[in-house]
Amino acid sequence: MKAFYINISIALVVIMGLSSCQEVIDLDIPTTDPRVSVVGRVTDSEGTSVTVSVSAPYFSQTTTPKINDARVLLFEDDVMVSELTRDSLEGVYSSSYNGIIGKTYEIQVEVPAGSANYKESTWRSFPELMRPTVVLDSFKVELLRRPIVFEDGYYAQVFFRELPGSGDYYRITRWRNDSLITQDINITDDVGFDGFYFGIDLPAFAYTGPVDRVGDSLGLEVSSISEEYFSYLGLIVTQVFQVGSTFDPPPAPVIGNIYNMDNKEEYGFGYFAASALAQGGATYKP
Amino acid sequence: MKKFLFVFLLPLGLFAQNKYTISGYIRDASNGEELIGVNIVIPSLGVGATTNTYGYYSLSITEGEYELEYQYIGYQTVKKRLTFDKNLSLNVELSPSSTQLQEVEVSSEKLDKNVSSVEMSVSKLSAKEIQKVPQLLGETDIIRTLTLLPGITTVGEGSNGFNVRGGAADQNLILLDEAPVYNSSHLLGFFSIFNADAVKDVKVYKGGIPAQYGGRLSSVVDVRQKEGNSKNLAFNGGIGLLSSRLLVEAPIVKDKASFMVAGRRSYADIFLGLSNDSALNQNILYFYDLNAKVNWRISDKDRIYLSGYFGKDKFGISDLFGFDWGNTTGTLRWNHLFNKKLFSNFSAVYSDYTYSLGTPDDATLNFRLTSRIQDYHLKGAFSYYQSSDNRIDFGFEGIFYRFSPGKFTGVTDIELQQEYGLEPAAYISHEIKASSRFTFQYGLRYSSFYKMGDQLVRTYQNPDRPEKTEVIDSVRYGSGEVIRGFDGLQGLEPRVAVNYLINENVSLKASYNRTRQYIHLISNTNSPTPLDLYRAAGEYIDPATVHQYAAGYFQNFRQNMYEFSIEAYYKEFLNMVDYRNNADLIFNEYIETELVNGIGRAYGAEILLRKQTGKFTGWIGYTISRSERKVEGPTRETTINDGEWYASNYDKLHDLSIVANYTFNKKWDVGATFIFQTGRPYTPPEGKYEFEDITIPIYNKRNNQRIPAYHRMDLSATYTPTRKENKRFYSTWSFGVYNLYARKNAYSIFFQPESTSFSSAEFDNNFSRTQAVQLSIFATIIPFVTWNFNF
Repeated sequence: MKAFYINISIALVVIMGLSSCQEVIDLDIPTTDPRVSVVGRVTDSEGTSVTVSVSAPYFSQTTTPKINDARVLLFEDDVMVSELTRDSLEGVYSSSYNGIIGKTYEIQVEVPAGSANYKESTWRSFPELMRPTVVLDSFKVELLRRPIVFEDGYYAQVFFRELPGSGDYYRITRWRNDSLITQDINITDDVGFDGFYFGIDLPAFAYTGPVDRVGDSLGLEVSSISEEYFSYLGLIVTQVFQVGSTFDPPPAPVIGNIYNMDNKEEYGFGYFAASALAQGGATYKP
Repeated sequence: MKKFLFVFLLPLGLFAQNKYTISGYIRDASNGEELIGVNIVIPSLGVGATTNTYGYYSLSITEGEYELEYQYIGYQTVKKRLTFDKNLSLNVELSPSSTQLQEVEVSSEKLDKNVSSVEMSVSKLSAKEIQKVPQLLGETDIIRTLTLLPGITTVGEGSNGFNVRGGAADQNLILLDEAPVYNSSHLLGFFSIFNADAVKDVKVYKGGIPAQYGGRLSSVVDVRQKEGNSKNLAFNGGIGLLSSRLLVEAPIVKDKASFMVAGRRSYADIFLGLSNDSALNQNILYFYDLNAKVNWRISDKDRIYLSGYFGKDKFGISDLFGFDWGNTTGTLRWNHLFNKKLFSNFSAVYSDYTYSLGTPDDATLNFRLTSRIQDYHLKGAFSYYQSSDNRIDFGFEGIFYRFSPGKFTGVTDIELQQEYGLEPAAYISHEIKASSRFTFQYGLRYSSFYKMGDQLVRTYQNPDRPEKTEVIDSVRYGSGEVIRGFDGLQGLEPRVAVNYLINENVSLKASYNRTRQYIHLISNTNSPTPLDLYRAAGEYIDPATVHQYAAGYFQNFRQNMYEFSIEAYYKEFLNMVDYRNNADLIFNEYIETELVNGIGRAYGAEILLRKQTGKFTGWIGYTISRSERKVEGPTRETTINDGEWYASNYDKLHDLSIVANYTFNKKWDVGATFIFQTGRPYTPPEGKYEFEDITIPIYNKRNNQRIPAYHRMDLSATYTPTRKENKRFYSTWSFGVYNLYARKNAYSIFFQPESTSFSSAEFDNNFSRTQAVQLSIFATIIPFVTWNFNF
């Protein structure tokens, strides 16, 4: 329901349109000590992947420092099931281990003594239950007349049933020709359409569009997420993207489910999630 | 309670010998409007009285012959020599002063209320004064003008609501003809809902709140609408850049019954249509409001008023999507004089705030979300004028609330449960001039609140910190059944004030009040939005309480031409509602799981030097203050800033306002305003980390830095062409500028990646670059011109 704020923002933009201004300014702001950040997930079909990095001053105009010599372990129902290996990318560790729906997962990251960017420490995530996701039945690209906000044009649509029973949360990720449409967090709960069939009870879900390049392949992933992860992603949306109006929410720490094994009160940044994936796609051929 | 009443009523029997009462109504001779706050003085005795909000006065004095003076700023003083050998009834009409420009004559009047009254922390503005202050786009704005007084601020330009002595926007009881107004702003906070043409008088209590008012913690803004001209048919109106307005008033039966109707509509959307930008020119954006009032003097003992307000803001993206919100109020009042000394008023009041957003019903994917709060009041208020030294006010009030937090219709139908509340209260207050130097006002209000069914109430594993995932049971309460009652001793709200008169020009005052608030605006943004709704105290929300202590020094100079005051206050806030991080407040049936409980404190000193008469009028107001909050819950999620005190969004250490008006002659009048304020707090990120490709700011301590200081100057000039003799029609031109030196005052500073494009599929790989951005609402000089007319 946060989307309604967007509508106020549109009204504000109109009201302020003629007189307001935004200027980039130079500021001297404080910096806290760096902390470890662990971001990743275990899936039911695409293995496990984690990025381990360290926080940096806000105005440092580079990517944050990565940790490349950590030992990263995956636990399933409290039992170690896989050790992730360093990927070719900086700070990225992965494993082909697939999780199982109904089991809980934790990641453990051990930063060794003498590591380049952080002190010796062990970090772990709070357990995440892997929940089932939807089944994507079929895809179609079709000309749509869109009444609100969006333009008319060709949209990729998907037909599926939302899982019956309330309390489901999903993250929706999109690709165009194998490249991720990034800086884009789409999450939803099932309030208002619990168990509905998209394509019968509601129109098919138009996930990308309007598209105009013939032959573009338009990918979609609907992953199941926990309520906690849903809140975490929601916090990112409000803290990163919902800024710059008179109605900004108060800044808040974006803290996920990572903690220091030696001191449970000390939190790290990032989130380790467990998701079942439903994937598919369509190609634009008018 | 019975014993208590007895103590209060004790003084009544002791003074009632050989005394006669003079009473009546005081009206404006030009239009028959009753005048509020007129001083009735008997100089030889050094006693006096003041007209109440209905223009009624009553003064009891010992037998004899005296000269009475009826004094009111901007009006000619009327003197009467009367023999008191029986009770007298005297209605007096005062004529607006044509000698107002001659400083000496006016200053000879003895208007020392600032010093002699027991009231403190009170500001009064007349519609005339407000109209002299330079305004944004020429739109006479009552709330914006109030913020030029010490102790009243806003979060920033274009913020919804206002803050009094460190209190939140929902802690102001805003009354329009006694009806509470839930959202006092139009256009998301840029203008207030009060059409100044229709307003007679505004009085703000920042502290020392009399016992008759209750239900909000920090202030009372009592706005009274005009009654309507009981002498002649009259029109006045204006055409401005933002809106046009028209007021019609006329007698229905001369000197017996009259009416007033005023309308106003903005036309920002007409300008939008002229824009080449398709994002702008297809939008609909306007507000309108309608004020109406009828009154009937049945006799000198009985009078009936019926008044209403209806306002709406409408916003739409062509005809595809609409969003509107507005207040509706209605007030029916009956003034009755039981006898010369006992004045009463009975009111029935209705107030409604509704917002609605959605698509047209015939759209393919139509939906509509509506939300509403309605309340119904019944009130009785009595004033017993025992003698010139003794007055007792007492009364009762009952409010029934219906909250409809959300109803979603269209593609799918869902409705959040309605909630109901009942807030009964009673009060008694005694003002006594104990000696020539001491005046006391002591009173007690007792309020209670009952949250009632029909409602399904959830029980949580940890009731003190409910979690959505920890619902263990739910209980259905039937219609009218009490879910939770707040009716203990906590409902006692003592109100005490004292005035010590050092000499006729100097006094010291002190006051204490305890206030209770049973409904809270659930809002978690810099300033409230029209989508924020009030929710009642109940199973999981406690009522909030404020203790306020204030003391002040008051002095008048040069025969009361200058008023000076310095006041210090300390406020303690208990059970303030605050919010968890990322709280989702709209259409959330588990709203209690998003709330946390905090405390607050606010303290400061306010200095005001004011000149209300002569060619040169205006004031200098300065406030030094702090407003802080503290939220310390059992878990990290329910704690803010590690449980330490932090500055509230509207904490501004220094706040200076200079308001000046100079009348050169009958044709030209100029006004100027200057404002300086410490920048409000903001929260800088103290680092960043990466989530996938997104740079996440690391916020640590809330509100620990400040945006640059705010300052601004506005100017206005009013030209009144020579009035032709015997012509009723006359007009004035007002023009001026807002933000004269075009300062780009910061509203906020926020932080974002350099690239925040949602739509770009091709990612520019610049995600790690971050920036600080300063938002200014009025970054330029804003001129205005308005034509006003009267006939």
